[in-house]
Amino acid sequence: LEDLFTENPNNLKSNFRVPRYQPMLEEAMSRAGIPVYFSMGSARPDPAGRAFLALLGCAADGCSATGFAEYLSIGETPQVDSSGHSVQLELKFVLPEDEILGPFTAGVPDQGDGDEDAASIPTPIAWERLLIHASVIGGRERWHRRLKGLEQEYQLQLGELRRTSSTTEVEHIQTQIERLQKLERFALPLIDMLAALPRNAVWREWLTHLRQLATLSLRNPESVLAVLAELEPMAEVGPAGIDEVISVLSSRLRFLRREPPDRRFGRVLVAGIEEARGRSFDVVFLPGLVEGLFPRRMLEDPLLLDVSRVRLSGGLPLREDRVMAERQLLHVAVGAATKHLIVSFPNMDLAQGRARVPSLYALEIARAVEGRIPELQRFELETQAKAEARLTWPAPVNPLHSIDDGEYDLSWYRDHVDTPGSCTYLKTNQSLYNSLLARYERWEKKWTSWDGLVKTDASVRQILGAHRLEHSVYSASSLQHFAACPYRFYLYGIYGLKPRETVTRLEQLDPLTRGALFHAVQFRFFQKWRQRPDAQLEEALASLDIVLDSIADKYEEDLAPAIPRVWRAEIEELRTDLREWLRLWYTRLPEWEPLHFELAFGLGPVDSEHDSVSNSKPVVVLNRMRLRGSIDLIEQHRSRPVLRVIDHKTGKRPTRQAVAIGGGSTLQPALYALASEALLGKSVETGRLEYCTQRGGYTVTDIKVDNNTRQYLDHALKIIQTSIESGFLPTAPQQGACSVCDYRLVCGPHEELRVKKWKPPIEALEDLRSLP
Amino acid sequence: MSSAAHGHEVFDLEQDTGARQLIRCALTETLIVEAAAGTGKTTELVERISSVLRAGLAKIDQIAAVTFTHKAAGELKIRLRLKLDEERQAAQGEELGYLEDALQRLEEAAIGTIHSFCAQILRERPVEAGVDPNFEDIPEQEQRRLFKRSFQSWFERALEESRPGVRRVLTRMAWHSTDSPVDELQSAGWKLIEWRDFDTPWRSNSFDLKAEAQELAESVRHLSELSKRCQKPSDELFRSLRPVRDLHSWLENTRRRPDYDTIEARLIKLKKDLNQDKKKGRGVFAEGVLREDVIRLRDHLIEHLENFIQRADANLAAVLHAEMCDLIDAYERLKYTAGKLDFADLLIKTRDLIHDNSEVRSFLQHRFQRIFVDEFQDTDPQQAEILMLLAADESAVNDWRKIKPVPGKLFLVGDPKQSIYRFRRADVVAYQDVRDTLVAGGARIVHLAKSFRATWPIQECVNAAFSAEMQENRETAQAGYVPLLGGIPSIADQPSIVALPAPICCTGPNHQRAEHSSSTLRASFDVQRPTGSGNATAGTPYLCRAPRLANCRRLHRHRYRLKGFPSRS
Repeated sequence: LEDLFTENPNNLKSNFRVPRYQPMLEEAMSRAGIPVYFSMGSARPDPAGRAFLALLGCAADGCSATGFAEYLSIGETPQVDSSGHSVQLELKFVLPEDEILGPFTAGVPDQGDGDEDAASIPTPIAWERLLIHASVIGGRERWHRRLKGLEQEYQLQLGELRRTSSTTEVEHIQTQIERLQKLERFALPLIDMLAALPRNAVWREWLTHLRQLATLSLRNPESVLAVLAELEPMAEVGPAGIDEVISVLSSRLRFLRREPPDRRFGRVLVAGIEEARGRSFDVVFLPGLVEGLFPRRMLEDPLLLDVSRVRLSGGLPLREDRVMAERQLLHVAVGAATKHLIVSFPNMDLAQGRARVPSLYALEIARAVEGRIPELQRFELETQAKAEARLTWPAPVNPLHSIDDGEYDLSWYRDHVDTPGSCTYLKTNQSLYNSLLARYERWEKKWTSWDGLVKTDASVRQILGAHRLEHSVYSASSLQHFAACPYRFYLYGIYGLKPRETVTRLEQLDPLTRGALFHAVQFRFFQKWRQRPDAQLEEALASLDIVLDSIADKYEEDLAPAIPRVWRAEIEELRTDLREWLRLWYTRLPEWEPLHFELAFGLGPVDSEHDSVSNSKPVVVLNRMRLRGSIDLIEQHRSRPVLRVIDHKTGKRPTRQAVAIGGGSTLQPALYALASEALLGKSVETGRLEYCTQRGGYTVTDIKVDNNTRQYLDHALKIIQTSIESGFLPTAPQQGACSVCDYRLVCGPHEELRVKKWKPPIEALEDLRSLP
Repeated sequence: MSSAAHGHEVFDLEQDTGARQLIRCALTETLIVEAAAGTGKTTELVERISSVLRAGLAKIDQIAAVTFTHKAAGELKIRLRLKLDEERQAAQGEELGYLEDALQRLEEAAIGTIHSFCAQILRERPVEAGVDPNFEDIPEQEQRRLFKRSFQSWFERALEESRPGVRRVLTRMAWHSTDSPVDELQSAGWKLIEWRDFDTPWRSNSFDLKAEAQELAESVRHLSELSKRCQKPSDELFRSLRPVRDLHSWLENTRRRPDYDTIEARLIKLKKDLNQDKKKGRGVFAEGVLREDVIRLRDHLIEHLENFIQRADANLAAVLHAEMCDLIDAYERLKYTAGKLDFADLLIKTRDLIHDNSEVRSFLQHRFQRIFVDEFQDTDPQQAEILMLLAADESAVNDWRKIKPVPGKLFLVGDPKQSIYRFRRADVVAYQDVRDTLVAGGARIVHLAKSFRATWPIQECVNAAFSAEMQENRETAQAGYVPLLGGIPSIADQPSIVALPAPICCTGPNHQRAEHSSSTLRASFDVQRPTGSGNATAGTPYLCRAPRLANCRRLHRHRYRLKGFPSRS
């Protein structure tokens, strides 16, 4: 086209029948720098329309926080007044952009010119995060309650921090409160309006509500108001629900249609075939000669079938006339070309992913050229050879035939993929480049920096120095990650990478929440039990039930379970587990006396959620590391001066049972035992893992805290320390570790295979994994 | 090789030629052509259409040809165009006129998939079919989106109304399922949507959940109390009865406000738990309690639970089915409002239109004088019903099983062996049903056996492998086998077959089996074929060394009985 364009753009025409291909054609022409005139106008995505649709989606979804966050993310929030409330624009008359009144709409201001006062637009900094912290999830009442609740929580924290902490923390909380207040002032009126939308109403009512909503929620509502004005004639139609309203508005609001420019000269004309009638062009492009598209399938008119037409009059057009009319279109398109006619057909329907064949018209044109209808297979092969671009390599064979720099490069690389430096082009998208390179490098035999922290220089090692075990504070679980995969330990323990939080209704209890709930109940129960240590089992069970009910209510409020019945069933299951655990606990009460519950160390100021003898500072273990954590239960033997440290588990019991440190994956009992000794000054005999659910079979794993265990632990810590010091923390997962890893997205799904294929230099890690 | 050896009807090339002749000439006979891949089915279809047109038995706009894919339809149209062009050059007189008319109006031929054929009928008769005249057919992705929307609103309604079936199923899932209960319910809803044309309510057995649960609760109480008399906590039988004691204790706690949905879920769970640990232990169980009695009671409880679960499941299925009916309504309403039809609608609405409206049926029967169907084995019963009703000689009959096709109107081509769309309801039994109905109505079955795709050693190998295995059997939905004949010449200096034994699995339990299967294959070579000086000659099959595949779990299912191949490993 570019070659032909140099002749005379006024004499170029492309015949075009299907509007959905227009954006692609528009983009291709723009890339090639060819001015083009679409007789049917053009379409651009309309951010205001999309933001409005997101808001309606939020309303349809019960004022969901995710829907509101989507609306915020489009950046079409309106101006706010000095108090932070969004300014409702004056409702004014906006003309519909239709063919009759279209010319009068020239006065509608252009979208997104940015002439507004930038300072008056609320900046939704961290609003999404606040929505998560507040666990808003959805529902008008909940929006009000949770945002107010979070504000109160911040105020309490502020009061506490003013007495104890530095000004930095106070300032942080103050900033959070300000942000939250802004969010409240902006969002709550909108949420009220969304909640007040009718469930079912005639369109007149809907249009009134929608107009108000648009002026309150959008910075530039004109395009939306214009569409709503177009729908005025539907005022009496209905009643319609919100889904139907969204469905009607969806196609109208996503794109902003633009009329074609007044003058077409100097541009390639893209138009329907009918518009070529009586005109001639040097070059005509006729795309889409594919079965089912051109010619279209010929149908009878359902209003008056051919049988009736024949009966009524001889002059009414019949199906065969429509066939002839379609052929006439082909003649018009072909006849409009005076120098060149370029015909094409796709061999693949990308939207449906199915193969397509040329239509009879394509073959008829070939017959006109060659004198006979070509054999289909040969015809397809020959035409394919003419079109050089492929789905897998969308560029011409000769780079000089490319339409822009991007296509030129792609074309050039077709034959130069192996040329050194040929991947440089990919660097224009650094993320893609990194991703591809990482995938490539990770299948190489050599272990490189793409395999986690493998080859580090002095500067990295210096940074890691600050994370040595004696400098940084670690939890037992982060250290246990090391044995599973050193890179996981790095991402979790050193880098502090966390999975993204979301705000959705809870459908089912996940293992972490279940564990947290279980522990919360146990702690509250222990607190109560302490007041009545001589309580009989039945009394204790009743007390446990009360505690569970009250904590479950709190969790229910926080998590807003989507299906109350499922939630209740899960709480009942938890109740069964807790009751059985309590029965078992009662059987050992005569021998072991409980001393401390949730004994924390290194977790900051001691609060009411932890044992009173907890220590805010971390504990130094084996003179080698600083440990933080919280011990579920510490018991003392009634006849011997020894302690037992217990950690409650709510998951399944692992197949490999630890004797001391379980290959580095069960460091917790030994570490907590040593921490208890340091904190309480008493000797610990055993570290116990107690699997207190049916899933865990109510079993226990006892780790004897003797010299051997201490030596093994010391050895394990030494190995971890050496890895941090040397900056060698590769992706070397244990079998099955990746399937439960939060960082699978970072590494990809093939790391275990890679380790199996090209063994990394991890002798020390293997040594650790072999410890009992 | 002789196919007679396998008990099949003997086909020879002469019969194959006769069959092809019949297709071209027996134009007033309804024919069902059964033929394997590569035997020229589509060519014969084109020949038949061309013969009908040339003979003036139908005009091009009176023909409907149904293919399985859009691509096949496009190709068929082009092949027909070529064929007609070729025939026209040799034709004279009346025949020439017919052929030229067909060529002139080729676009009017209804050649397409069954769905596009139905869409055409519905677009021409929207009022009678009760569809939007300007309806859009929606692709599967869009269909899923619409379904999700209707499911969401249905689910909220079901929760609000606390429907018993939904309540029960959610409670069960909360206790047993690892997936999200909403996802599971949604997937059940989707299946129901796919089968919505089967709208007969499911039979519900009389089932009194409350009474049955109370009875079982009593058994649980009895066993629990008996087990509590055991004084030895480490007793295996005592431990195995912990779930019973748990449940009993829970039942006691909730006795004042029993929730029978949860009781049902917990009883199901109890059965699972009891089955997991059936240890009997030994020694004295408890004073005055015989171990054997406790075991007997436990076994009796398990049996009772199994019985209960079976009836509860059947009852729940029927209740849930009834409760999900308005999900289907909601989905239908959403489509109706949007003026859209999904693939199933195209078939259902066309079938209903033709079945219920005698005027339309009669009109279409007259309009489509000849109906050609390719890949008939992939036609489901609903599609078959549409085609059969259109082919009927009596417009008053609307039961497809009672119709008699107009002689010569139907021409069906298929290969029952290739019937692989059972999940779309198109199974061999459905095919056989339609075939038998047609045969009873006067249709004739024709077999094509001469292959134009493979060399004779390949055909011989395929015949040897499948002749004995594939015996027509309705009960097992097994199609019969028609041995291949003829074949194209072998390529010089190239073997026709490279037999790769089942891959050897390097790890896992299949390893040994795979090795065994490989050696069996080698040992079965009891007929020697000339191999030249160690190199394979043209057309001679040879055996390669089995490839080693790590972690290969899928081994060949068929027992290949390859015989007579020299080995080159």
